[in-house]
Amino acid sequence: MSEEILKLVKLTKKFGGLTAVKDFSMTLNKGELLGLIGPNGAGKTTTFNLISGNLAVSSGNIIYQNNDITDLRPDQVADIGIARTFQNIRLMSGMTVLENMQLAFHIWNDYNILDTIFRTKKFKIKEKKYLEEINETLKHFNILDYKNDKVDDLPPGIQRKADITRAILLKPDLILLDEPTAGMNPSETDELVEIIKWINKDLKISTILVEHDMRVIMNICSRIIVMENGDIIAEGSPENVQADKKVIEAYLGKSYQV
Amino acid sequence: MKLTENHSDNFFKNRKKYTLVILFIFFILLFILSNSLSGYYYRILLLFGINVILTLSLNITNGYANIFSLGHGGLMLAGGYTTALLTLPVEFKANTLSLPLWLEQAQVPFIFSIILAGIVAMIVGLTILLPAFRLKGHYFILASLGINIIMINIAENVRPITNGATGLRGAPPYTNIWWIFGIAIFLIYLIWTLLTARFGRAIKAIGKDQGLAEAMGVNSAKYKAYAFMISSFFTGVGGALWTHLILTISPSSFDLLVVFQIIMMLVIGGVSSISGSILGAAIITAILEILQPL
Repeated sequence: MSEEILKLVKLTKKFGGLTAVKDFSMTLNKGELLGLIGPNGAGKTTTFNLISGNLAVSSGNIIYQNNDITDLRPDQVADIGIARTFQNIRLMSGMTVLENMQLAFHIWNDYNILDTIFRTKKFKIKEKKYLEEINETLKHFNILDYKNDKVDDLPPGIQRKADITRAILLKPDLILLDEPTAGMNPSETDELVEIIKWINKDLKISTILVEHDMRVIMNICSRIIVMENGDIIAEGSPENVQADKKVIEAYLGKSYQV
Repeated sequence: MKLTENHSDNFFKNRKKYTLVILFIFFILLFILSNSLSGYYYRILLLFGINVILTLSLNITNGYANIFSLGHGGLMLAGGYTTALLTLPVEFKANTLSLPLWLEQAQVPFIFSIILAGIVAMIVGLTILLPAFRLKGHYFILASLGINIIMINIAENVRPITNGATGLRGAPPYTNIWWIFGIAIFLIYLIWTLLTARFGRAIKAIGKDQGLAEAMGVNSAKYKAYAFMISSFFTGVGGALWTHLILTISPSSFDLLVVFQIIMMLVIGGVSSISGSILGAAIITAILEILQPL
């Protein structure tokens, strides 16, 4: 059970004189749901960007399933099974929900260019299979009705769910969720919590969750890492982290109570 | 869920049938037009067809993939010169140019010469622009402008092959209505099939949001290059068809003005749309002809 899926070794990222992530080391076990919290500017999103290849690492290593993936490009990272969402909802504007979802099948290279041009049986079977998978996942997320709507016209709650759906459709082994409940109302947040649980428990996708909503983090994460100024200041179970003096001082505040 | 799927299945079946019917009617119309139109109007129809090909190929890069290129004039020159050199009469080549023997003796069938024209344009586009893919936005546009300037300079100065500023005259009049509209329809079909599959989705995604496309596993550099290859191939083919219609090619045949005309066609009809490209080509071709006497 406690097999490592991701390991960060002394990860450092410098932007000029600013060190955003400093000698950051952590491990994530297979199937774990890890919460990454900390004040703004602590380096949480930078860490995500380093893992997903959007930023170049200054020093240190990223080990994924025993392979060094430090220097991979974002598309290669997605290809080996690490999906991510972004802090702000990112969907292809001007396209329908379905078209957005179809892009997820890009990495499952099942038919070639000739199949495409001549619309062979293989092409049709694969496309139909993809469509079925998309329908199924959208149905699970309760957004099947919006399938043919342009993403720009949808309310933020639906957009957020679509955003997570497209990451799930990549069929990753590890998903990086960057503030999935930001800007959501309480009922949408509850729904997203259920979705995150489902992703982690039923789909068995290891998850790292960056979140500012402590109710969410404390509820669903099995382990929490608290960052400040690019470094770990506390690590452990939700109860331990809540009681940690340094964490209360740096992030939670003295009045915080669950 | 069942409902939508059945609906889409029917839709596809019907669409296939309708498309075939429309194609059939279209070719009958072309047949009638080719027999009834007088020389001038027939020529405008052919120009319109070539403009459709050029606009559609520009649409792949400037529209769908959102790599704004001003270099397509240079690619047309590459295609035009290639097909001219491969098909010009042997006496002309022997008297005015100093070519290697195999090229001097070359008399290639039209179909191969336009394919080769496309391939040469593709190679030219890739060699000059691949390094430029590292640039973004305005900087890429300026770099792409370089293709035009480089190709015009080559055409003016490599006299043994291109005959300098005079250009090459007397290309055989191979281009006809069937070639042009055949290729145009093939291109429309090609773009449509690609766009509704993995390949085109990747290109559209790059055009909309490159960062997100990469997060979804699309190798953006590779797919941009693919888009540019297809685009420059058909631009080269367009230049070749043009050369065999006008029967002459010179360094000033496809200057920046021509590029902007094609961009105008693209923008007026609507970027990232097949029907828009056709409509834009029709409107601008007509306007240019109407304004000619003024």
